[in-house]
Amino acid sequence: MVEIDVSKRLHSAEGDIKLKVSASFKRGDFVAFFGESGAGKTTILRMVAGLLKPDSGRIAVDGEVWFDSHEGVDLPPQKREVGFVFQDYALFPNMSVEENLRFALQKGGDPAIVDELIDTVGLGALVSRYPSALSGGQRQRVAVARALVRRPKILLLDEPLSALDHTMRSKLQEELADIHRRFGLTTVLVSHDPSEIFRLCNHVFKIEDGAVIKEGSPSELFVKERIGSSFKFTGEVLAIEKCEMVYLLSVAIGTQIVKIMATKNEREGLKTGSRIQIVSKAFHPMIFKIES
Amino acid sequence: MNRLKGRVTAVESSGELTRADVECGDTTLTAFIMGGVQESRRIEEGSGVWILFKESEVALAKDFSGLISLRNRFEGRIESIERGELLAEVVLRYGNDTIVSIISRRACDAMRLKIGEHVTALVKANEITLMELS
Repeated sequence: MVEIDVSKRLHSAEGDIKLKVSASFKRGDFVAFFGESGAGKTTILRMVAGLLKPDSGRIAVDGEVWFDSHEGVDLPPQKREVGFVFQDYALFPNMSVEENLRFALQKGGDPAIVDELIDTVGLGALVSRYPSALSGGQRQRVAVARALVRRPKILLLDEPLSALDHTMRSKLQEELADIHRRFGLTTVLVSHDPSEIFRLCNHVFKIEDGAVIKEGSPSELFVKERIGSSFKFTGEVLAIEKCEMVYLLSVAIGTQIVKIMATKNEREGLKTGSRIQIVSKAFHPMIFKIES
Repeated sequence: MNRLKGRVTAVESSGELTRADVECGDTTLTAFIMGGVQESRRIEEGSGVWILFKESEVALAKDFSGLISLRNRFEGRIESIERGELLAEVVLRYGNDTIVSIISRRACDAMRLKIGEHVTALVKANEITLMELS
């Protein structure tokens, strides 16, 4: 269980805002803090990591108190088991990929983890390169690997993919999901991109003006329309073909691609890449038993 | 999809199946909802709802008489017809709303549908989805 309940007064260009956030989630969750920039999302991550001290409140992970203003507890960042991936990656420019990872190793830490991580994120051929000689996607992989060197309990990701193009983003989203599972992490993602959150997270906290205004699963938060007794799928439009007065949409749903019929008003506003929710009443399906 | 506003007048459940009667213009529609009382909790007597159904699930009848199991009927006037090779799209005026029906071109021709004509739009109760007004 991760419990965050903190307040802090912040000075920003738009004036002072009072951040007061209360959020809790389970081990193994992949959660998102979602909201406009300036809402206070990054500040929350920094307080969890110990890089910024809350004015008051409490942060506890699996019953271990990391911060408690009443009891005067404030663990330094190196005592908190977190890995942090910054928006700009913050790699050391004067160190190679391998040196960046080794530098993050704690005294007495097992150096074998460095090789394991280099392998995991597929950077084997690039170990001696410097950050300036890497692409955006490769830098991001190094930053993720470095964040995992100390085998953190919590991985904090601050808009990690915002600087990358669409193809690289979706590839790295898959890799992040895989790493989350493989290392048994609890991951916290700061993002303003609903589709990214849909793909990765099981729980979302919506942040506005320094407070959690809503929380729930991605579909509860992003799909306003609530319909009973139906199948609901979220998909991405891959292609739109006109066919007489209707349209055929090719839609990627999970690993399947299906063609569905859309009428004029349903097609309105859709383009390739649009995310859609498909709803079908539960009366329709024909059911075939699969013989084993 | 077609989207009309209505008001729930009666709700009856039998186990996991719920039947809701919804008043819409001068007609009363029936929708079946699965999931019993829990799913239909938000659909209660007196509540306003959206009535949703796909254009391709709307059948049309002209000079309609006799008995038919479809009880969801809209009496409308044809506002426009677009004929494709295999399909036809017929737009009906129903009060302040329009209802769109997509039927086969053959049926459209066989019925000799014309703009301005009165027709009955029919929708099966299990094709209707109710959604709370937001």
